[in-house]
Amino acid sequence: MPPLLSGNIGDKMEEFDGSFSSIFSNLLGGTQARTGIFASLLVSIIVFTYTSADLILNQTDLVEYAQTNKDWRIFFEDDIIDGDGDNLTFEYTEIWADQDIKVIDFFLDDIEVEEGYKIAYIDVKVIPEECHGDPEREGYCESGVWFEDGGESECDAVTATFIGDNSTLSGQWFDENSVLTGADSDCEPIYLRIIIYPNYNLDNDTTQVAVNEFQALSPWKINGWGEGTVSVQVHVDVQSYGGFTTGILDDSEEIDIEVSVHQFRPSAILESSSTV
Amino acid sequence: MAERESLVPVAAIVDLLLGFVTIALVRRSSEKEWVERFAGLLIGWILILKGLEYTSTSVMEAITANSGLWIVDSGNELQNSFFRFAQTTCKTISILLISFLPLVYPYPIIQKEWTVKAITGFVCLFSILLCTFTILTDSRHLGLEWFALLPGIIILVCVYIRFVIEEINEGNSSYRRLSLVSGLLLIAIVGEQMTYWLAQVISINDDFLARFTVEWSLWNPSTLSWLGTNLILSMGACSLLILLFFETWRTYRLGLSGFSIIVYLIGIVGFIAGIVDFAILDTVRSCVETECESFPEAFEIWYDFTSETLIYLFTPLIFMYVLLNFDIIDSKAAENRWLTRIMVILMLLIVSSSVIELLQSFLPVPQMISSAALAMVVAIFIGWEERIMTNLMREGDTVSSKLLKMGELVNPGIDERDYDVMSASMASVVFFTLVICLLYSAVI
Repeated sequence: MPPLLSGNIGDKMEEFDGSFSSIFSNLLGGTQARTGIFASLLVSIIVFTYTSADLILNQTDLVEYAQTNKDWRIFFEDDIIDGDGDNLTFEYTEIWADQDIKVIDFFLDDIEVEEGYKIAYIDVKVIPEECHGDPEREGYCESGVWFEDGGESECDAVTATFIGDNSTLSGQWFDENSVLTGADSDCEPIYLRIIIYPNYNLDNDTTQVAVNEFQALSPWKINGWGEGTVSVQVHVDVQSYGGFTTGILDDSEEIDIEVSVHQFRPSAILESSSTV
Repeated sequence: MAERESLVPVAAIVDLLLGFVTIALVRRSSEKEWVERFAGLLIGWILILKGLEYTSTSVMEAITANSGLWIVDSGNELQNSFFRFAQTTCKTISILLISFLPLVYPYPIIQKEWTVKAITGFVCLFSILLCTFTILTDSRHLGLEWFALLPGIIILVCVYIRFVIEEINEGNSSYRRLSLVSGLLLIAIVGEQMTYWLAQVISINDDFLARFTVEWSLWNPSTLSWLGTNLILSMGACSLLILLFFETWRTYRLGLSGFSIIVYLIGIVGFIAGIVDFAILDTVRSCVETECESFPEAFEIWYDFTSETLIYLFTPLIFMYVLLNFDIIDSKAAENRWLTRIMVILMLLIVSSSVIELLQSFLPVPQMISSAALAMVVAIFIGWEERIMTNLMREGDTVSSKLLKMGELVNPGIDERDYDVMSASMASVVFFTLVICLLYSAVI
């Protein structure tokens, strides 16, 4: 028998040998304590039994249903990030000399995407001076020649290209809906587009198979897309030919670049509860 | 109004700090009885593992930029991450340690020479087995480890009931020490579940479990896991009902005590929470039946202030109170005094400032006012430092001296080296299991 510790040792101490039987006998105490302990244990067993039965019998089927795939229609609420109400996120105007190649950068860090929104795609419109660049000028374009009261001039050749890759702008550079380069010599604007969010559908809706709304929307709530800089390279080849009648001599070109950053917010509606 | 901040990083700091200081102080308390020394070591390691668990959770919250609900993880960035594995691993080991604590403290069930060796061996073996099993089964059976708590909770309840009845019958207040420490440990272990007692008794917690199963992408529980979770909820609810019943009886016979007030407060919180849970059952069930609707803001704030505060802030404080008030660590020894005082004031300040920050997160209190409030708290702690320490320190018998007087404790002659072996083994197991997590997350 191990030695007993020093202290006030009573009669009971002499009987106590540290065996499991004596420990449990002491632990349960007298009759009143034993009654309290067994009543408490009984109540606990009853609570555990009926809550477990409720959980397993009533919730298993529901959760199984909840974990079954369903068809969800995902809608995209789309608008342009626009600070001043002109439906444009960035605007830039500069004069290009003949054969100038310039790269214009638009920093997406400077704009604020609303809570719950992600960047969907970015549209860039490059506008040459003759047709649309200057609203004061009245005239018309025909077969690459600009006619107005003061005379006629040949349209300049403009080329615009998105420059970069995922390291400079995280987006879908190889998406079939992305238009990364464009050219014009008919005094018409050039439209470029880069899809930013993966699999973003320009029809503003799509379908998704998922077990619940949360997981249906999960693929449309990923952070990290649309970070970086939109770099647009513009090359201008100025046509100085003055036409057959009264010619307008031209040695430079004013180019407007309008950038619209489209943001979207997804929402989901249960389309069918059929299992997949 | 500021954004609601997570309490998890604060809990991580508090638990790690308290855990390391506890182990350091226990090592310096070599003249204490084996019960106190071993219990101190177990509590120290429980706190360290809780701290590591909360650290991993904090990192996951930072990764998902989601305070409080990293488990939802819409981006699936955490599915096979080291931090997810580390979090479950530390949680499992801490539950194992908690399940062995009541076998030693306050009423040692195993009083043998090999007690420390055996418990160390069991904890280490089951830690490695359970952690590996959890990782390999993609945490599907996480929650199963709650079953390990069952014997410990039953023992604590038995000790509480026996000694509260003896106190009432014999009018001997020294019995209160044992019922008090048992009750406090019950609150520290299943305090969170106690705040859900009404919801558990009327059986609506299963609706919440169903919702979370659907909503949380990182929680895909098996039936066993559900049963484990339901078991701990039932243990929490029943423990509180037992505490309420016997504290009411004790109050009727002997008068109101501070511990009775704490029990009543938790009871009231659980009662209100049960009513609120019942009121929002449609929202809870929406996830399963139609589409997930978010909980009302007021509901979230309520849980921030009750259950979460209890888990993250008050649980380490309860352990600290037990360590000091029941003289588990020798806080009166000259070489321990300053470390103990620093620990207490630091803990109280961290918790107070966190509560003030939490208040500021939903009340439109200007920064200046909250800074002033914090300054007042600091002034109170400095001014009343002596009084706070005196109140925290031992008021009566230690648990072992009471058991000795009753003749229910032997000195089994535990080898001094066993305590060091225990700490070294725990450190090795934690390191080893974290390496397993790292390797598994790297190769998967």
